[in-house]
Parts: sequence; structure tokens; C-alpha cells
Amino acid sequence: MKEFIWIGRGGQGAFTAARLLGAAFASKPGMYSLAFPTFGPERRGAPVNAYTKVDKKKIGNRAPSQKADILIVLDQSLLEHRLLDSLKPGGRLLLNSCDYLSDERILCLDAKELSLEVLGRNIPNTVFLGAIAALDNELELSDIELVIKDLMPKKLQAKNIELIKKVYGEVRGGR
Amino acid sequence: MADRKDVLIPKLYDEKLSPKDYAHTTCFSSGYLSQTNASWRSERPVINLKKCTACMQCYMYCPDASIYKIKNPLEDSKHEELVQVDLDFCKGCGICVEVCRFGSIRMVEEACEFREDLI
Amino acid sequence: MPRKFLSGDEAVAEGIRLAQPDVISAYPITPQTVTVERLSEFVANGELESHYMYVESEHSALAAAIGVSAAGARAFTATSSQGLLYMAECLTYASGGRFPIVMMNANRATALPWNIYGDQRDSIALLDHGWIQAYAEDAQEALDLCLMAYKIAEHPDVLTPFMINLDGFALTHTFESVDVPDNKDALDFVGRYEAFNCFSFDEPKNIGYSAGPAYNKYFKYDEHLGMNCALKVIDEVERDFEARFGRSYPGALESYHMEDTELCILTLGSISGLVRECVDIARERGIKLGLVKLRYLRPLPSGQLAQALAGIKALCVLEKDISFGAEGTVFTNIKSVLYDYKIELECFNVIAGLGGDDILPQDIKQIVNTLVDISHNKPYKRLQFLGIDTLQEG
Repeated sequence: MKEFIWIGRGGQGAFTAARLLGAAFASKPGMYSLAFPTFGPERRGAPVNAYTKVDKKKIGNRAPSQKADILIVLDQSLLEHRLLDSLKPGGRLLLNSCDYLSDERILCLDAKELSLEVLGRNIPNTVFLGAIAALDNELELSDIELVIKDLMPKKLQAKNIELIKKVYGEVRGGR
Repeated sequence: MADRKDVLIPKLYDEKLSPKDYAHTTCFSSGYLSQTNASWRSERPVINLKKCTACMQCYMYCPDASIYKIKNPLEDSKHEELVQVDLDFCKGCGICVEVCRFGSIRMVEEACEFREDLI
Repeated sequence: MPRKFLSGDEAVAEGIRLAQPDVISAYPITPQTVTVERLSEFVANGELESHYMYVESEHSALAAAIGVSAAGARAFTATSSQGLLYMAECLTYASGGRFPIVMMNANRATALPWNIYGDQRDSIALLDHGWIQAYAEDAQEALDLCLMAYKIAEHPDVLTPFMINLDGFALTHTFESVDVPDNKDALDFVGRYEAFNCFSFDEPKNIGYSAGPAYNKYFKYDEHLGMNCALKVIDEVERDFEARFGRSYPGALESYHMEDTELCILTLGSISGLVRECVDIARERGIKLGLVKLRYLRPLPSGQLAQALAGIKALCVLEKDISFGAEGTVFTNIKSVLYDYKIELECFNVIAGLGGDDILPQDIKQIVNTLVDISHNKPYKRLQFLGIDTLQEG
């Protein structure tokens, strides 16, 4: 089972991204997924964890993942050293940051700049969907495109697809 | 920073409690069970003590009772008391900035600097 | 049948949309809110031709549903924990009045202490109020139950209101793939409500009257018979469902790997999914473990239970409720069946998940270890609170 943990603040789209990722995997024949948020005070600014679980058989374990294949941190202020302990062996931490960090498990993407450039707004979540498609050996860019077309409002689709393609290219290009 | 026990806000206790201590009723001494409640703050108020006139409007208006009085730490003794924000409970609503007529408070982003000490 | 990625709440909204109730009267309460929000959207955009009635409380919600049913129309309401308890007095009006109302209950802990997360204390505390109670394991089952619920409830031999239970958050707010049937196919299956115990201008009726000591027991007896009849009707409806939609359901309980088993975990709701996975793992390690998933708690499928548990040596009943001062209510029900059918086995009760506490694979493993110990005649505790009496790992 592959597990993705999303960490952000309410309003940054952590759960939306977790859900889109879940839907993208689930759209592939023979694949099952679960996507859910942690359930705390629902308001902008509150830390939100969200989870995407993916497997080739139906997933029975609905508890929040304790370890992740990929951990995505959408808000730098939520980054803590102990998060690296939540990675499975070989796992990666994707961080929304313009900085560079030497730990090879961490991949930094300036989602603020990328989303401002393409979407015109600072919305960091879809950036990381593109990154995951680039890093994951089963998920394809077309799977993400499919769910963007299926689940996002029409006027947001084209720009988001452009964004994920751009990020996919950058991450594939050797980060 | 003034010592929290000098002012009328709950002191936070570090002691680890066992359920045997607290789970008998839903009633327990303050300061143990709600240690902090500020995680949803994405901006924080910063008070410029030199500009602060001690009018106490922010202290009165804070809906969370998270601004408290402190002894003026500055050399100039024009005001005996000034104010300070309790960052353990401040939710970052910004009402203090709204009511301050002297522009002594501004909001800064929580993540305004990359915290290198964390990695 | 289009596949959508839906939460349990949304799946219920789709299922109810397909069943086309005439009136929806519901008051929002976490974690049911998404269901009623979606339904109000369907009504607003014309996808569902129904009247969405705004009510001031859960008590009013069910009272309104009773009125709707008494007018011969199909009613729906939804609630959770404190809301269910608030409408509790109306539950017996609905069941005693034989109004086939369908209600979705998002299982949530009851206060105090105040808690919005999932456990099953709310519905299990109200087992005796004459409602059929089904427990969904996943979003697909939740949707399918919405369609089957009306058919079962409205059956003239049953005429009993139906409560569909979904675990709060673990099921209501978790997204998974769901097949959503076609509008026409669904309505063909559910059919239209044909009521006879309702107001009529052509044939005036008395409805909702009192019955004194000489007569009361006959009404209650008939109510009991109606509930018992539901077991047979559930099987018929499920066979019809399978023929039309291709998904089969095994009746009031499901046996998983129970053919050659000595050890069994019996549970209900979404936690069955985790137990199912643990059964597979245990089997790989040579442990003969099986799962009995109770899909319906009322009516209690005594015969099926007896059949399933006949050859078992050790049984754990895992449930998310506690009857204070006694034990878990599901456990009490199961032991009663064991006694009736003279089935001798060792059994213990694990109370877990209270207040939304996570139940992890390690916890099920602990239960399996206890079952293995019991089969080797080691002593055990009859009632265990997970994480308190037992060691909760991790």
C-alpha cells in the first residue's frame, strides 16, 4: 500500500489535493484508494493533515497513516525535524519552499512562485500533484489531468493542467 | 517577558497527568488540559512598545483575552504599564490592529522567516 | 454505472437522490452535514424533485418525517449522536406508528465529554426503539443500503422505519470509489411508496391513536413480528438488488473465512475492513481466524449467527459502545444467541474506538493473540477496554 501524507493549513488545499490524488489513482483499472483529512477545528489557518492511501486491493485500514511514502508539506511554518521520522525507507518529503535543503530525502519546490506564475494566485496544492506524478512509477500525468477535468471547476482546469505539466517537467528534469 | 503568574491568565503546567487524575468528571483545574490553543494562527501581532500609549483598547477588545498588561520594560516611565500578546492563545484575528488608533501593532506572517533550527 | 470518488456522506446523498423521497426534513449535525447539504443542492438544481423542509431541530425533523409518512409520502431524515438522542422520543412514534421512514445516522460519540468523532454509542443505545438498524462498512454499501432500505421498510409485512448507520469520519468523511446506479434503474428497483396507513380523503382513517392496557400488547406484538419478518425480506430484496446491479450482499450478517475456523472476531461497521485484512494476514501465518460482520443489529439474525458461530472455540466481539455498568450491548446480544442455541465457546468483549480513537492493525493483532491464548486454555478477561485494560501498541 502506498501512503501519502499532506500537511498544510486550512485554506491551502491539502485535503483537496489528497482527494484529487486518491481519485487519480482510483481511476486506474485495478486500483483502490482512500482519501481523508484529519478532523480538527475547521477554519482557515488551522493545521490540516490529509491522507491518500492507494493499493491494488480494497483498503480496510481507515486509520491515519503513521508513515508515508511521500510526505507533502504545503506550509513551511509546519516543517519539523520529526516529520522525517514519518517517512518509510526510501520515502521523500516534498516541501513548499524557495530554499534548498541538503537532506536528499527532501525535495523543495517553490509552489508559491510556480502557482503565482501560472495560476495567478498563491495556491500551492496542485503543484505537488504534478511532482508526485513525476516521482511515482505508477501514476501518470494523464491520470491527474483526468481528475482535474472531472473534479475541478471548468474555469480552473486549463491553468492547473498547464501548471502540473510544468512541475512534472521540472521534477523529471533531474531534481 | 513578564512572568505569566503575575497576571490573570492561566499558568500552564508541565506535569504529565494520568487519566486517573483528570477523567473522573469533565471539570478540572485550568492550565493543565488546554495547554495552548494557537495552532491555527497564520499571522501574529507584533506590538511596538515605543509607540504604545497604554490606552488599553487592544487589551479590552481582544476576543480571546490574549493581550495582557505588563510593567513597562522601557527606560522611559511615561507609562507604568504596557501590553503584551499571549502567543500561546492568540488566534491571529487582527482585531487588536484594527482598534489601535496609534498604529502600534502590525501583523506579521507566522512563517515570515525560514526556521533553520528545525532541520 | 458511473464510478465516482465519493465520501460516505456523499454516497448516501446519491443513494437517497436515487430513491426519490418526497420530502427531506433534516437538521445539520457533524458528521452528517455533507449528506444534507448535497441533498439540498440536488433539490435546488432540480436533480431531485423533492421538498427540502427546513426544521428547527432534530426533534422537529423526525416529527415532520412522521407527518410526511402519515400523508402517504416517502420521507427521509438524517442525524447523529446528540441529534439522534434529541429526536429519541419521536423514534417510537415512527416505529409504533409503522411509518417506513429511512434515516441516515452518522455514528458519533455522545457527550459528555463533548466529542464529534465516531463511535457507536448513539445508535446502539437506542436499539430497543423499534427501528431496523443496518451498519455500513464502506461508501458503496452505504449507497446500496439507501435503495434497499426503502424497499425493506415499505414492505407491507415489515412496515418498520430503517436506520442506516455510517461510522462518523472513518466512513462519512473518507473518500473512495463508488458505483452510482442509473436514475431509472434505481427507481425501478425501489419503486414508489404505496401506503395504506395514511390520511385519505376517500377513506377517512384514524391515525396515531392511543391503546390502553387491553389492546396495547397486540400492537407491540405485531411490531415485533414485523421486525422479525424483515430478515426474510432483506434476503429477497438483496437477491433482487444483485439481479439488477450485480452486487451481492449476504443478508443480515457476512461470514468471512468462517468455513474452517476456530477463532472469530465479530464486529460491525467500517472497522470490519481492517479486521478483514487482519484475517488474511493471520491466515497467511497459519492462524485459523474468521470474521463475522454483523450488517443488521436489528432485527437480530439469531439463526444466522448460530450457524456462523457453531464450530468456534474462541470469539471476540469488537464494538464501539459500552452499556455502563454492564458490558458492550452487541456482546450481550451475541451471548443471548449462544445460550439459546446451546453453543459453548469462550468469548470476550473488546470495547474500542470510543470518542473516535483509532483502531490500528496492532490492536487487532493483540486480539488475535488473545484468541490464540484462549484456544490454549489460558485465562482471559471477559471485558476489555482497548488501550486501558489491554496494552495498546504504538
